[in-house]
Amino acid sequence: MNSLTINTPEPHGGKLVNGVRNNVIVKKEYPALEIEPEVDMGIVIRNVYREIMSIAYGFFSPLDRFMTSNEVERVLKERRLLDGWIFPFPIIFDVNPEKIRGLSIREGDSVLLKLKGNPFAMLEVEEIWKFNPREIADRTFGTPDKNPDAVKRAFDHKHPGWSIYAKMSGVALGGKVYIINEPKFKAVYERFWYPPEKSRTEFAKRGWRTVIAHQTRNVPHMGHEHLMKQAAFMGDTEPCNGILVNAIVGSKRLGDFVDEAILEGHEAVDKFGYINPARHLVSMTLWDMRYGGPLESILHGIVRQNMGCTHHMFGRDHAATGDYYDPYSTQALWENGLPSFGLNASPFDMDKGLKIRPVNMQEFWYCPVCGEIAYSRTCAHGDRAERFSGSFIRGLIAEGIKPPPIIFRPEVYDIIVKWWREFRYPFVNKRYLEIKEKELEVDIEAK
Amino acid sequence: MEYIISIVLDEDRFNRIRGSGLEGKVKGLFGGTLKVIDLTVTEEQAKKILDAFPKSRIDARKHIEETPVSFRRELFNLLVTKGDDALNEILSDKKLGELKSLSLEEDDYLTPPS
Repeated sequence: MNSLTINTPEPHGGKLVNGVRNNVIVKKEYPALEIEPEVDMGIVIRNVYREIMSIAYGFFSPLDRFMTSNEVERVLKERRLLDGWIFPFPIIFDVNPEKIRGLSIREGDSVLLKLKGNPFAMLEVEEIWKFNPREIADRTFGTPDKNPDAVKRAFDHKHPGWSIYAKMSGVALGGKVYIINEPKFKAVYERFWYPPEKSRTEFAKRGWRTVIAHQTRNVPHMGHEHLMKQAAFMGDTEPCNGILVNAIVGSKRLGDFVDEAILEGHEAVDKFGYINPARHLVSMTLWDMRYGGPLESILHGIVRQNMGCTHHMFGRDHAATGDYYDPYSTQALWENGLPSFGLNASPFDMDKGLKIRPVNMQEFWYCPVCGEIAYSRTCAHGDRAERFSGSFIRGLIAEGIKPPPIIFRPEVYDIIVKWWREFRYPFVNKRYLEIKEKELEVDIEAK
Repeated sequence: MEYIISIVLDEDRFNRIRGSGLEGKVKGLFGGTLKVIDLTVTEEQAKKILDAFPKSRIDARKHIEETPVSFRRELFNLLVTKGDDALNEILSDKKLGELKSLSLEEDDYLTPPS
């Protein structure tokens, strides 16, 4: 140990939320509300059960609730919770107002939330509040006028995250939420479930002091693998002890890789020794991505700091879709802040900010001169670079062409084909979405 | 503005173009591990493709990506039989109409590799 040593950071807010309570007696008079998915143009864009899981298992610590109107207001103005800790997004439990009236839900009530028809969680209603969904959507993601340091184009219905907020009912229940009946993960997901308390224990067991997080919503190609390997060289007196791959599992867009292939594809990287399994762990967080670029990167920082990571890699166009955000706005945020969003310094340097360290990375390409995968900042042959974008690789796969091993591991391709056979399609299509959103990632027992 | 569509050649496709005069257009990528033929697409042709297939898009390299599999397969077939006229041929109203219908079926099922 010396002054250069970096240790596991405390959870965001100082303490992990534990919102899983066993032996809660559910009184018959509690109003019961079945959780229903939010749908846009026939496609499920959000299921709030995933947010309840992430709150209750501590991924979003110190947030232990659905936000009330004053908390949402503070988040939108300053990107801080009421207790001052940085937090990027409003977390809102919107409910159809007719249901609220029908069940006579009032402030002060305990509401039983049901999932797949069975008891799942309790919500202690502190406030029933109204809002303008479109206004909240615009304020959440920013506009070119008000946030020119990051937003390049006005958000619209083509943006899945903006649509999540814009499609809300306009009436929300705010208050503390906790799980009373723990769901069981389906087999394909269970081994990747490392809520913060468990991941911290796992890191300690493995002797990992420094851990770098890799955000993913894709199966890994060689660009991702090189990113992980090179970024891991950032540590303290030695490279990071471990790489945590954390997949965001949730609602999908048509054409995405299926969650099953994403998780098992990353697992194949260590299973076949391309990254030593002693230094690599694949995990997941339940969340319907908001594709909020720099703002989403703050949430990623919170989740992975809570999981015990010391570093987080951020690439070009982090957690974004389309050309709404400047592709380098996430890296700009972590270097100097984004003042228009109330973030006047890097989240790492702000009071009640994050303790996870950013590692901003550029691009990897194949360089025919070097004859290897090269890093764009160190290879001087950019004019000869051969890039392998995700869409290029998806095109190869769809045509049934096995990508060459120099850009894609054959074992990862085999995983894609395995799930292709299962779902009769290599990517997310309407049929997959119907199955996924009906079945969800979990089962829940009657109680 | 001009764009590119890359037609990827697996072993079978590469064998089909042997001796056709197209061999000279083959480019090796990633150390020669992947063979492609790049076709230049005009602004007008690109618009027609993007209009016909809403999922297709132009990436940062100015390549037209995410076109339907049936479109890419037919483009290769036409390249072999019609050579430089392949793009004009595939973008005829009749052919494009057929491929649009096929692409809708593709959204539900794609045959996995054996």
